[in-house]
Amino acid sequence: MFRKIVAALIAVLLSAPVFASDFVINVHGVVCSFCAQGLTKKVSKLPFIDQSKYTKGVKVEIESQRVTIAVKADQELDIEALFKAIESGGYEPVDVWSVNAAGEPDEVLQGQP
Amino acid sequence: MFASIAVAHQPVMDMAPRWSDGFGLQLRHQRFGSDTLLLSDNEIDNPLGLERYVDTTWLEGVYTFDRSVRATIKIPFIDQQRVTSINTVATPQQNTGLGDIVVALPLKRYSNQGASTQNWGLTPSVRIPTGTSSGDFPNSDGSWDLGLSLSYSSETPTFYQLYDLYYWNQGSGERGMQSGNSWGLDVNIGLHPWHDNDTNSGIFTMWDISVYHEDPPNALNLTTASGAERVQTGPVLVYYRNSLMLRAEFKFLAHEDVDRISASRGNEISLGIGYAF
Repeated sequence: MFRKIVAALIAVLLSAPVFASDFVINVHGVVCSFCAQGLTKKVSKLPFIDQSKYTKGVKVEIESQRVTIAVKADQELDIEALFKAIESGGYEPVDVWSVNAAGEPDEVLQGQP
Repeated sequence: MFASIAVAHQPVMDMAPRWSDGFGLQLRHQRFGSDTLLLSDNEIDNPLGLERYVDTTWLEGVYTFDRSVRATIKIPFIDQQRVTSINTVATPQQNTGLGDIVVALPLKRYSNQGASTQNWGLTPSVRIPTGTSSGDFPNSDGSWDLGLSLSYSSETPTFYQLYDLYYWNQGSGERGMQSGNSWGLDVNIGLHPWHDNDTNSGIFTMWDISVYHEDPPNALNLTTASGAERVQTGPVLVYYRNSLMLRAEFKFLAHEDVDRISASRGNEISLGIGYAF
């Protein structure tokens, strides 16, 4: 019985979203679909992006200029490469946040909190 | 002919691609013409049934080196027909073929501030006389023409505005032809009523106001150029989904004043499909 409970808990844990692998970036100027397209095109090519989530690993909300990215579980976020890719897409990254279990920005990693 | 420089309010070409090392293609069909005969800004009797209609299919391409420097090319394929008066006899004329290719180098300075993005643009252009200047109804006067545009646009998630002031200096053409120099102002006010973040699709609407002035051509002129002042206005509708963009535009002729008796330009319709890579 105990083994079954542990196995079920492990299964639930494995199937749950890994929120620690998501990050949120506030980006100045991302206000249109064409903006979202260019930014997604550049950021999704980064090797640490998990393309299985969102749109090729990137979700852009143009109303709030918030960009959410999914990072592969076995990879580290390279903030310098990320910011460079966003600038190459034509926009200015402001800050990057880790995401808590509720999917909300939790701790600022770089930029103004 | 009659093309603005900055390729204003175009999904592909002006708005995208903004990213470095990006390129886009657009196919656009434009039609204008009428059987209304004008003298100055007055409609006059047209007992001979004179008319002029021009269909142009533009193949347009853009390459973005980075967001501040782009190169564009516009290749027109023209099908034009008119009924003109020769010795007071109505005479149909027609010409189909490649028109004058326009190459431009849009230079843009962007500024991103929170929920808005804006840019100033300076666009030098050259019109290459690739169209035919022979025949009774040539689609080119055979001249190399130089253009310059100054533009400003800003955009938020819901609002868009663009102002584009341009000037074309016409060179001397072949067979003694030379069209008049021209300038124009395009104003676009746009709204963004719907966008879906998950599919990156939505609708974009704009209202376009175009003011255009063209000096009279020299005495020998066989093309459609007449010299005119013109105000056109109308809606633009854009649907987009990721890299694919569809665009429809209707321009109502609000005012026209021509320098010599000629067929009015009439209302204008333009349909386009673009893709950014």
